[in-house]
Amino acid sequence: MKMDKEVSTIPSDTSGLEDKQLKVYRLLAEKSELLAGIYLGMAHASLSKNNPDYLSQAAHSARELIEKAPKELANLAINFKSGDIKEDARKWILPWNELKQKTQWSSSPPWQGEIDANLASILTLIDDFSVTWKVSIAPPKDHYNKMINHLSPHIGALPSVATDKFSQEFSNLKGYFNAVCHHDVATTETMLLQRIGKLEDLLITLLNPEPIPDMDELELLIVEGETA
Amino acid sequence: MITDKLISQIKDKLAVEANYIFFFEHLTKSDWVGPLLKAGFFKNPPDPIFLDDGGVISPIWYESRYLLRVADQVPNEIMNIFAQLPDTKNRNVIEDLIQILLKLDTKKGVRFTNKVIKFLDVPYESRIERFATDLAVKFMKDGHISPALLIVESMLEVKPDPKVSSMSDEELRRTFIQPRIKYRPYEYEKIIETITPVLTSLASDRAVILYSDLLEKAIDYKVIKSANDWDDDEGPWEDYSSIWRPDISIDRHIQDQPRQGLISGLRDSLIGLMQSDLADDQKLVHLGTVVGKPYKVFGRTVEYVLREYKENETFKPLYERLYQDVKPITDVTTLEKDPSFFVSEIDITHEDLVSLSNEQFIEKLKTYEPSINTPFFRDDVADLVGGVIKSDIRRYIKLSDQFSGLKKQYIHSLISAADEKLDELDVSDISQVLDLGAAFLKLQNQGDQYDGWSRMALARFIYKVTHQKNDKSEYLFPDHSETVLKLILQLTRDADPTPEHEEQYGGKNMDPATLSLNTIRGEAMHALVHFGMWARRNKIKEEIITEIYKELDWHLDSENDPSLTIRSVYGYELPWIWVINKKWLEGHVLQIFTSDEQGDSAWDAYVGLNQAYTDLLPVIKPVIEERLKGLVHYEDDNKDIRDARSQFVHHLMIYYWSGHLDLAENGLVQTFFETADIRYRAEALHFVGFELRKLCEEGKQIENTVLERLRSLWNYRLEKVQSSPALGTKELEEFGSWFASGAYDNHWSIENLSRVLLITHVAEPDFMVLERLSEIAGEFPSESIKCLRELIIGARERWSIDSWREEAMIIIKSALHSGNEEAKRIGEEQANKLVSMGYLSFRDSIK
Repeated sequence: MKMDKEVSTIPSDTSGLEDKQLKVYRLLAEKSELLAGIYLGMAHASLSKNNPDYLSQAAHSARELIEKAPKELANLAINFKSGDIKEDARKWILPWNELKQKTQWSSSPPWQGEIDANLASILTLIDDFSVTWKVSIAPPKDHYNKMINHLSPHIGALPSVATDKFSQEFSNLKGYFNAVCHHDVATTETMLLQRIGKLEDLLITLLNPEPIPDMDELELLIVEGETA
Repeated sequence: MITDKLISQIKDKLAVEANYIFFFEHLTKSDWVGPLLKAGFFKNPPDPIFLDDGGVISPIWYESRYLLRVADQVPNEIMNIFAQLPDTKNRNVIEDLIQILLKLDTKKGVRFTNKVIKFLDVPYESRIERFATDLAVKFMKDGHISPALLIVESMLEVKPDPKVSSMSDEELRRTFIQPRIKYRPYEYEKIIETITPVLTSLASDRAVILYSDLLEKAIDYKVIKSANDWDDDEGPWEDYSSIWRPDISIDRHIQDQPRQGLISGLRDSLIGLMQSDLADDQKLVHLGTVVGKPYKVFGRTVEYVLREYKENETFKPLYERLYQDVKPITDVTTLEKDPSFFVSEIDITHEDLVSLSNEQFIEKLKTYEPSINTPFFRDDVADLVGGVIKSDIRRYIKLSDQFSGLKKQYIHSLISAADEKLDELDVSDISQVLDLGAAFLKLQNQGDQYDGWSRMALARFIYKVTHQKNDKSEYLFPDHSETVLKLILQLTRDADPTPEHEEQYGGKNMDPATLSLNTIRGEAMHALVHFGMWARRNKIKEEIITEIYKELDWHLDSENDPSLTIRSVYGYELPWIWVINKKWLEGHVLQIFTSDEQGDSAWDAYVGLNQAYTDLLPVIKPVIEERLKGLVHYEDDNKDIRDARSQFVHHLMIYYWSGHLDLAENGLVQTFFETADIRYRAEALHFVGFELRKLCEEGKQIENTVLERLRSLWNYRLEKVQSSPALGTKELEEFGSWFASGAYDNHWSIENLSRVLLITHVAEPDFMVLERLSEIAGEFPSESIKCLRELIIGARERWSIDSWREEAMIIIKSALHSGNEEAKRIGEEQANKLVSMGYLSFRDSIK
């Protein structure tokens, strides 16, 4: 909430943006003021060469943009679990190890006894754990797949096998920007701008696809595949 | 050649839905199956999507559509894919998969019988059962009866009503219970109709078992008593099948009755059994099994089938026993009667009555009592007498003075018949009916239904005779004036409608004006006004007119008559009241349209049922001013089916159109636009646009002064909404009909449409707008493509684009070929956008 308010006060200074950047900005602005603001921040940061940390700051905005995209563009409410996954795992791993020592399970698998009260309590804990952490530990790619599907005209028509590659690229870019913004990897302006360019391409494909040229290419690829 | 690199290049493109669809729709060869499977395709059909409103979307799986196209080319690979597929409840996918099985060799296909049976459990509407039926037929024809029967049994499964398990016996006796089947009755019966001939020809004995078991369940779950209570010694249960299936040979299609289709299935299977090569003793065993079922209908069905074989020594004993048990009705005439309805048995006929002399006729009516004297039978007798009277109306009207001594239903029959045959009556006949009415009104009102019906019939008759004939002559003579007035004044004081009646039948059930035509006092009030018109036309003495206004005055006082129904008559008949006495109306108009429910009912009737008479405008102007307050808030209470508020808006626009109202500050039109709810404002512009279009379509010339006046209205609204966006933009959307009308020049039209679309992205009705836009796209390519761009943005429903695809194509092509770079760029963008939305045909616009 606070973030939205701050963003709405950012002046939309699009001066200095190139045509492609302006296009991305406008496409984002149609869907989300927040993302458009982050994008503009990223564009300005990447141009602020007087700032010695401009690369990591631009990367920070890029990472934020990718992370917030599923919620902002596709209204996917991803409730990431806060807290410590290890702490939650301990709740059932410790009693489980104790239980194993009291049974014949480990010595003569496969075990085929009845589910008694002890085992039932452990199974309940495991179930809670998996339900609680299911969303948070799902690969980010899954969220991007859902986002792509949501932005498509027919919900559910695009299977993950068709979107995986796109989502993986999104995910890879997030990893790169994350590393750069935390100064975990060395990078250059050229490398960063190249990745930003890739991100812009993905966003354009996502928000304003131009399938007719793609279809022309696909048609040729089909002919190639069907020719002995 | 399909390489990993090629597949990777293809996958690069597939995250755009249109590309994914395009790719799978354009594959022609089966060579892709293996490489695409290796790349991860054909493994995960999309799940159905459950919507909040209870709806279900089953996304199309374009991969299975491709597999269906090539199934017969690579059956083994398809089988492997099929075997690995997870269970799905996506009906589109299931339909594809069953169709794939239909293309495969049955020997291979039967391996998936269990999978098919699981598919049949999809709980929402689909065409699965049609394909599954075809599959079962294919299996049977290819000699695989058992798997086919498993599919059929699953499709025709009969389950108990789920209510039964949670209800006590007492509750069940008061509840309508119904066995549950998987499909709608029509579809269920269609399965039986398709399966039975094939199954019967191949394995009639198994068909008999199938249908007799299912039928037993269907009846078990319909009756309240459990089949466990059945005692062998008691013989078969009375299932009343002679009522719901009197003739076994005739198929009956009744909603939610699986037993009807199952009886037909059993009958046809038994016929097939009897015609089969099985030995007679084996046939007898099967027949015995059916007869042994616990309901009479089984014996009736076997009896019917055995009629052909009753002389055969093997079957004769069984037939004769069944004949004694079920006592079949074989007489066609009796069977044709529907025993599920009670038919009255009146022991006189139309011909009997017509043949009687006048004296005998009256005597018969005096003395006749039907053998069963219930209200139904009395109605039947009254209808019969009414029919006789109508067959020779003038003969029986001459007996009308004797009717007053008869039962009231016959008085009703005569007056109603006279009403219906009015044009055959002369003035003396009318006098006689009026005399009968007068005599009838002197009788004590016993409050039974015939009292009310006869009064209603009389009021209607009087209403009718106050009008002119088609040749402008009158039904009534001046001499009738006092008699008719007296009758009307008696009927206008009738209690109907009582407040209870209005409570029960009015409100949301019926608006007051409609109720006025269906109640005695209401109908009489209409008659009163039209009697006044008759009196004016015929220059009847003023004393009579004065009596009419006295009566109108009396009912206008809500202390005397608080009915909404009666007040609505004043609105309904306002133009005629004005014709009769302008001064009276001027003095009473505010009393008619009071600011309360009674006033509302009069106003709704006035605007809802009358044209916008310009002569009346000066009289009702103060009322309009007051009534504009009623448009400040939108009301959608379904109180008036004719939507009186919209009609009021139309009246205003007609007065403006004709120049009787203008846009003067604080004038009625401006006050309306400044204060009314946005939906009424939009309705006003919508109405004008549609009238313009209608006149243009009819080729009628619209005067320039009118067009200029309307243009001023449009400019006023556009400017107002542009400067105050908070007013809402919905009224601007209605410019669509103005644009589509063609009433204005193209330049002004498209310029204003462009302005509107930049604000609203919508112009209604969109398909008409696109039609005109495509017509002028050649002249205005740049403006047209920009308008299209906005309309695509604003398309509210997917199907709305479907409805104007051809026009959009014309507009895009005009832009692409215009030589205007900007138009061309926007044209390409729009073609891509439409393709990305799934309208792949727009790819051709760029080629």
